[in-house]
Amino acid sequence: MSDSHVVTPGRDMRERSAHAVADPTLQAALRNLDRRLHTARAVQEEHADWKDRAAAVRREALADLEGLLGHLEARLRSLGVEVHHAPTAADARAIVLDIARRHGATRVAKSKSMATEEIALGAALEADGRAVVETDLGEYIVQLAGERPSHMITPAIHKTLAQIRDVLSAEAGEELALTREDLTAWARARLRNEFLAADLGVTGVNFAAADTGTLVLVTNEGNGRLCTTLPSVHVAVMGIEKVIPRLSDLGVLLPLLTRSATGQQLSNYVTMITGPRRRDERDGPDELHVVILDNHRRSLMGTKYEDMLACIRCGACLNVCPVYRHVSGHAYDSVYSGPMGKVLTPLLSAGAEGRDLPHGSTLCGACNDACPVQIPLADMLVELRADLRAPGPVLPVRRPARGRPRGMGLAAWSRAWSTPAGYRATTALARAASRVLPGRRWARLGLPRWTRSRDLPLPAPETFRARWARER
Amino acid sequence: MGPRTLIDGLRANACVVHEVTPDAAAAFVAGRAAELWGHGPIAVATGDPVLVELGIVDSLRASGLPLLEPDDRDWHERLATATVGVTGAALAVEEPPVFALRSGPGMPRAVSLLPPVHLCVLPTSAVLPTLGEAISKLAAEPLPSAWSWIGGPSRTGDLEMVQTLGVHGPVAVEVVVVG
Repeated sequence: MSDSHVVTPGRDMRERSAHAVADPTLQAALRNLDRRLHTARAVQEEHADWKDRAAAVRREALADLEGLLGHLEARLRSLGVEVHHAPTAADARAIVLDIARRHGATRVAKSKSMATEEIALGAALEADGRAVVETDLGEYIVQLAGERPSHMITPAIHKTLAQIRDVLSAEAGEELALTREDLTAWARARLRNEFLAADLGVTGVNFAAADTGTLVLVTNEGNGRLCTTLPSVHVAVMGIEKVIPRLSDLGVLLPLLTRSATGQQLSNYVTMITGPRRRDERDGPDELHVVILDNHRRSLMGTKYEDMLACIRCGACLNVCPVYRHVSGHAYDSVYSGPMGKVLTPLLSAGAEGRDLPHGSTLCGACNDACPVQIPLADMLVELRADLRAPGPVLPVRRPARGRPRGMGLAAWSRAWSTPAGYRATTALARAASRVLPGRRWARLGLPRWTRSRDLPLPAPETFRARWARER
Repeated sequence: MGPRTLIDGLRANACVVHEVTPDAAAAFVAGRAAELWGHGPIAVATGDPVLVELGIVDSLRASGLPLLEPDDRDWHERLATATVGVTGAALAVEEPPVFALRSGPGMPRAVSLLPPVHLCVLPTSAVLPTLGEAISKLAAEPLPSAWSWIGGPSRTGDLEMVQTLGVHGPVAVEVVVVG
């Protein structure tokens, strides 16, 4: 039931953000984000070469995406894995529901995955009469609270420890102690029974190596290992972009992912799955299914937004974003939040969702610097603002990115200020206008939308260059 | 001398690390398993070549401890009650500090996963300097159904982004470095 979220108050991101900023408990919880503020910078300082190598590997994969997917599928099939292709989210849900029905699976253990959040798989399985338990601790807390994850690595970051205690106590039927250790121990005991009873395990995929057909899962809690070890059927859902050319590429991708996500040198558990349980093995699933999800990803190939498919879902751009850090995930009202969510949400819905999100940004560029695979998120936000201006299903025209802002006014401004003469003429004009107009009229001068949330400062009576020439 | 970077790193990851010589390994592991043993069975990956070659499977069988072996008929029923899981590690990395277990016959994945204590035997010969070298090495050989890389006790950052130990996997991990 991962997607049966409580609707956040507000019509758009602006209103939801105002609610978030006015909520003192939420603001207190969000200060915990400070603990991961510097993880991305540390990667940059200590391992600048990793970012170049990882960015190159991700671009290499995107350059031959269909070829690699073909290799991956052939390898998976040779290992006895059943491969399914899901053009849409609805197709993916139908495929997993069909597997669950065929096996009569009644209890599903889920490991946290953005792809399954994206297709609202938990809700679909529950609507089909199957009990689904989110086994990542943060995701479990959010599920019990009837909410939606607010951060892709730390789903319950919007809650204080006291709020988490209240959510878990309500489920326990007793007042649990207010310590992390006690709350964790209670959840361990409760969820252990769920694992032992589950007949279907559902996970995402962090990386899928085309050369060996290996699925790689990164977790800290061990729930990913349990979901892929105990249930007799394992379904892994992966976006098409999760494929990497070689298993050996993980030497740089894995540490970069976990350093960027949590600051750890490596996540506590990395699971590399190559096929289902072999005949001479005691555990592991008898059946392994891989669902390869498109859901508008292919429509980005060959466009200026193609780079977005390099994203490895580390959450570093959320942790450094001044907007995210004050409003948190629910203000975005979408599965993906933060800078990457502002780009991805309209793109993965063909413009049907999150059209206002690209405007919820200061364009400070912190996300560009934090991104371990060098996706120009802030630049894409500028492009999206322009592309989403016209109503309708805006989707990327296949052409190279343009270097210049595309609003007509901005283009004229850009041309005028590209020469010293143009700069001098327009600023002289502005100074003259500001002398004859009263302050209030000046502030609204020809720019009513621009100045709705900004001040247009009065030009100084005399320019610095003029003073310099006079007083030198 | 053991691999210092790895041992320090595992300790920083909240592992308990012991260093023993190959001759002493069998007796040490059986003794340590007895100390860690609470009440339930001790699950042992009896097919693990590291445990076999160091004589640890034999020493455990001779110890009189209540062992649970993968070939036992009631393996699945009793595994959930096991208090200690004993495995070997086929591969490890100095930095980042991790060790890796391969699945296979007599080496079920759950031995290192369900019991609250994981006792892992790591020969120094299995230690490589970097993750890249280790992954290249395993990619060059036939892959088992699962390689499980482990850094220490199970942990979460989900409660206010503060690390808390012992979520779903083992609460305690003890590594016996043999070399």
